[in-house]
Amino acid sequence: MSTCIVKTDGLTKTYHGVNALHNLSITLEAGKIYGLIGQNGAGKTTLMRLIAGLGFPTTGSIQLFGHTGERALQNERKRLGCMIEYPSIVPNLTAKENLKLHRIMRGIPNIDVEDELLAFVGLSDTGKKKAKDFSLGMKQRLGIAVALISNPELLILDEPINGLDPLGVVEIRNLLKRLCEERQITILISSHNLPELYQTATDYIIIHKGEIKQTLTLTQLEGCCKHHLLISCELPEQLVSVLETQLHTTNYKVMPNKSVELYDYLDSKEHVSNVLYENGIIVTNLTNEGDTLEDYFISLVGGGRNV
Amino acid sequence: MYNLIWADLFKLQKSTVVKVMFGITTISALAMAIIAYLIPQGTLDGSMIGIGFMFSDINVISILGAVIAGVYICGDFDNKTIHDAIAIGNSRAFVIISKTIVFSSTLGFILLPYVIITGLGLSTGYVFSMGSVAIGFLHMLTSTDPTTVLVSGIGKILAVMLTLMIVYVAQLSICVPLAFVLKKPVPVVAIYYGLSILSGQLMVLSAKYPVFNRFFASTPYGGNHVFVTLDTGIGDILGTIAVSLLFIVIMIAVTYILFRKSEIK
Repeated sequence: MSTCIVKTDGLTKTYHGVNALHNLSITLEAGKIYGLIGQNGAGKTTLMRLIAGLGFPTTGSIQLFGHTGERALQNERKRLGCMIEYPSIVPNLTAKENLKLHRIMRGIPNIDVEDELLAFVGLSDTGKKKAKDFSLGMKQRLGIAVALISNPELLILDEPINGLDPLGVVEIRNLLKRLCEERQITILISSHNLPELYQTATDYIIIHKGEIKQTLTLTQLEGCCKHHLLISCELPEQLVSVLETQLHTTNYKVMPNKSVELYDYLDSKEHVSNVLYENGIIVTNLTNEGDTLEDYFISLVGGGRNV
Repeated sequence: MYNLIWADLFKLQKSTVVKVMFGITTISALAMAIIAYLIPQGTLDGSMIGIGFMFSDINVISILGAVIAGVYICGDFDNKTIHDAIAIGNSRAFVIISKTIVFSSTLGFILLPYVIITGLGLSTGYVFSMGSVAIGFLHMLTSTDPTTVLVSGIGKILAVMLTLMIVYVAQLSICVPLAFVLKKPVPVVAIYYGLSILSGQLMVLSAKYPVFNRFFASTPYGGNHVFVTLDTGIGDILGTIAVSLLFIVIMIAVTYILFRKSEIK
């Protein structure tokens, strides 16, 4: 049985009479990467802030490493590393000095950890450059290094890949996966970059208007993402007619660009191709496709793409 | 808490603001002493008192002390150092106490030029004067009879100087709750400077109303706390220290009450 790292029970947070979180109950288990998905204002950051002790729940409780109660939570937070909203960095200090500051703050005697982490996040060559002169991506990397300095068991990262270049995104993804696999660190990560989150997380928590919409594993998500045959042709009306009369299916959807998504015959692409050809339909594209995490999220919460 | 204090001291050691402020207080202390020396010599006109007072410790520290609170405490809200300190398991009480200790130490550091220059001034045996506006170290410098310096001894001089520093720290400790609540440097500096002007007016008021005077004297802004000199008795010095320390403790408690359950944005 997996160790429970974080457990919230009926967590509600109200700001001026408005629920930012409502009756939220989740369990985070050791060694997993949890992707926290939600629109702006869904309550992702509020949840992270409550776990980190930067705010207090209106009702409900938080359990960290099996402990609950204010004093115990405070003690257990020593096992936590986090970067919420913006990295905790002092602008007039260099990257190394920033790490030194946080190392002293945590009472870590090992000074080698500063260079190790700088190398880990690719900031070894920043020298005497002050953090205020860093690019957004460099600040994010430094923030991640700060969060990792105490070798935490739970890492909370709010939008950690914001501002990173494509290579940086891949590096951070690999870094997080490595931390999870090698050190069994549990990671709670929020991001608006859903394709990236799809490649990073092992579990997903979909949050909408302060409530949990769904929690699912990567395997479950893959199962939930609707797979289909994407068919493009010159005569979509005729194609639809053939699907209904010859293939006897209405399980399809005509897309705005006139292509058709067919949700049946997923394993019989050749058969579909033959039937269409025999009925005089010239197919320009016939491929197996699947919904992305983004599609799935939108289908779940409905509405716009303000993820 | 020990780690938080060391981390803050490391940060301040790298801070340009603190170095600049130390430079300002050094220049101001020198200017104050020179003007206070030249006025009784007749080299400078008595109308220069206003300028001299501008460089005096009470005036300079009222501004710079509040700026330090703004930059050091509010700045840590800006750069999320306080957020991080709490998120890694430090209690809010420890955060407040460590900030107060380091803030007080920094005030002591930037006051050092006044301490040193007042000490040097007293050791020369020269006469200093700044009319009736002298307060704090300037008052010590201008009201001390050169002959009493030798009699009082170095111990008394240091005790009086330390007492004055504690009084200033206590006066400025009101910036701690202000900084924790307002989280922005500009209002902290503005409010404190307003309070320091108000306290000057209240001092006039306390001279007229004995009841108010008793109440006001129980704060570091009232009584004769900023007028401690070598002539002040040990009992009064201890009373001033007690009032100041108690006031600092009250400010820490007030900050804790306000910050204990507040959201840290």
